[in-house]
Order: sequence, then structure tokens, then C-alpha cells
Amino acid sequence: MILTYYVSMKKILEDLKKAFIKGNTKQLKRISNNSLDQSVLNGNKKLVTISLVSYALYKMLTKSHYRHAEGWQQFSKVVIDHLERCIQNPESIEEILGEKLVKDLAQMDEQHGRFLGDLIDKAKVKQASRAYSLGLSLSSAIELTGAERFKVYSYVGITKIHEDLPSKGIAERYKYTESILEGK
Amino acid sequence: METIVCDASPLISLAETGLLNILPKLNAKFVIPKGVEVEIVHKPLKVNQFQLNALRLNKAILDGSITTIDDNKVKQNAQDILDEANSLFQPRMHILHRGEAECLALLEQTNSRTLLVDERTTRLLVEDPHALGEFIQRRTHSKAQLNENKAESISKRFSKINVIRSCELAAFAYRKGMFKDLGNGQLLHACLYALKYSGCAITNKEIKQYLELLS
Repeated sequence: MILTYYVSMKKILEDLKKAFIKGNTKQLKRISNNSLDQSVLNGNKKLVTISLVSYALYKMLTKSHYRHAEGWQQFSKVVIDHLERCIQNPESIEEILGEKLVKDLAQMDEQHGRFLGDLIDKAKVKQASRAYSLGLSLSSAIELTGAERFKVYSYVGITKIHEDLPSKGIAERYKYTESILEGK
Repeated sequence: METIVCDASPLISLAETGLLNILPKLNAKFVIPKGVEVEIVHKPLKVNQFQLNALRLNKAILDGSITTIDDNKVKQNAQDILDEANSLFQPRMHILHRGEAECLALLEQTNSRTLLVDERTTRLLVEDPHALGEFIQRRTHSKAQLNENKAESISKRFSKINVIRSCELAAFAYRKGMFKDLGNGQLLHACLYALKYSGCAITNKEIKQYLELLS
């Protein structure tokens, strides 16, 4: 886990814009994870929005069917414009990134994506799982990211998150279960 | 008959894996707070992909396999539990959600001692808040610091609660021959892995231990 504190919202947005322009997918993913990690510790919803948008942009840049799609240049300009407006006024993150950019991403995804369910939904599930791995309960992680509950359960189930857990052992837990269900 | 308070997570795991039908065969009363019913039925009913599971869970409520308890005292007590659990760390982390807090409040309200929960954080909070503290401090590189006094107070508050998971119910049902119609071969193995992949916090090592214990 990387837990790097950002000093200001403006700095994160500038880094995000720079990474998107350069097509730096590693940096976009890092920004997504760092923002999420920080939001787990302070509950800041703006950071969650940044995390989800960065993740969706990272995914798009790694898929050639988006990058080579008709309308990609126009879409890129819109993304940069949205980010620029947020840098000028970070208070508008939820309105511009959380609503407008998410809508633009969904539209791009609907036209050129290959799966049902858009990239933002996938980002929510992925980052809810990350928040859970950092220690939030599953429901808290779901509330923080806005992910679909059933999807998060299935996703968490195929990760290694639960392999790293202290537990009191099967024998004791099973013995107790048997005792209550047999009325002992 | 034992009253078992259920969180959303095991009920979803059981519905996903087609094992919900074991509940009426078990000698226990399964209860949920209203908040959990909303999460497992009302919300997923609005999503195409999850409607079928929501209908299965709704049927289990309608036929009495699961009983919903809607009580204002539970909601008030849940707020107190939420405040206590969510001040366990500095900076304040929202580790617990209202639905889970309502389950813990319902346990206190009904004087029950058994909580059915598949997810890890609530389980650790109830069983060993200090272990949860160490876990979160490790995962956050010590950016979240445990409040030892709060941990002690939570530990005392929930000391009489025992936690079981959907996999314990499935293992018991297997042992009692409730799945005989599916044959016996790899059944326990199949059930436990299906539950794990549906989100139940059980490790590969624990599944191996179950297979040694019960096969």
C-alpha cells in the first residue's frame, strides 16, 4: 500500500492533468490509489471523486479501442478543460468531475466500450475493495465509493484480501456453531 | 432456540450460492434490523443484475426464514455504537457503517449472543479490537493510530458476542446431511469455496482445516 499525503487539492489536480496529457498510465493509477487511501483516513468525498475519475482515465488510456476511437481527441480536450476548471476552483470538483466528466466518460464508454456497465462503476468496485483492504468495513467502503454492494462482495471474494487475517481458528468457531444449533 | 442477528454480507453470500434454503432447516431464529433489509432487498431490486437475488432474499423474509425487526431503540443505540467504533482511530476513520452498527445494537436489544457476519472488519471489531487496531495500523503505515481506551471499552462492550460466518452454517448443514441431494463427493469443498468467492472472509487455510475436520 502506498499512503502518500497530498498537500493540496490543486496539486493533485495538476498532477492528474499532467499525467493525462502525457498518457502516463502508471501515474494516473498512483494518483487514483493515493487519493483513495487519503480519503479512507479523512472521509473526503472530493478525493474519492478524483480517485474514481483517475482510475477510469487510466483504464481508458490502456485500451487502444478508446484511444483510437473517433472522438478521442475531442474527448481529451473536454477532460483537460474540466480538469483546468477544477484547478482554478477545487470547490467545484464534485460538480465538474463527479457529474460532468463522469457523464462524458459514460458516454465515451457506451459508444466504444466492450462491456456492459461503465468504467466508473468498475472504478467504484475496485476502490471499494481497496478501502476495505485498508480496514474499513465492507459497508463503509461501499458507502465511501458508491459501489454496488453485490459486485463488491464478488470482487473481494476473488482477491487475496482475506488471506491476511487474524482469526481464532475453525475448531473453536465450528464448536460454538454446533452448540447453538443443536441447543447444547 | 438461538436468535442469530445477521449482517447483510452472509445473507448475500448464501443467496449468491443458492444456499439460502438451509436457514429454515436450522434450529435458530435469524433476525435482521430494518437497515439490512433495505441493503439486501430494496436497493438491489432496482438493479437488473441483482434483482433475482433480491427476490430470493425477499422470499426468505416473507416465508419467515429471516425476520426483520424495525425498532427505534435499535436505531438510537446504533448511533452510539457508530460514534464509539468510529472514534477508535486518530484521525477518525469511518470503519463501521450504520447497517453493521444496527446489527450490533440489535444484539444488545434482543440480548442475543450470536452475530452472523461474513466481512472482516466488524468481526474483528467484536472479537478483538486490538487486533483490528494492529491490522489497520499496519495497512495504513501507522497513519491511523489506535485509541487504546476506546479499544478496551469496545472489547468490554462486545465481550459476550460470538461471531459466526455463512461458512460455519454451511459446514454444519453439510455435517447434518442437508445437502445429500447434491451427492457427497466434493460438496463441502465446493460450498466453502463458493462462499469464499461470494465475499465470505475465510482463508484458504481455514477451508483446508474445515475439510480435515469434517470430511
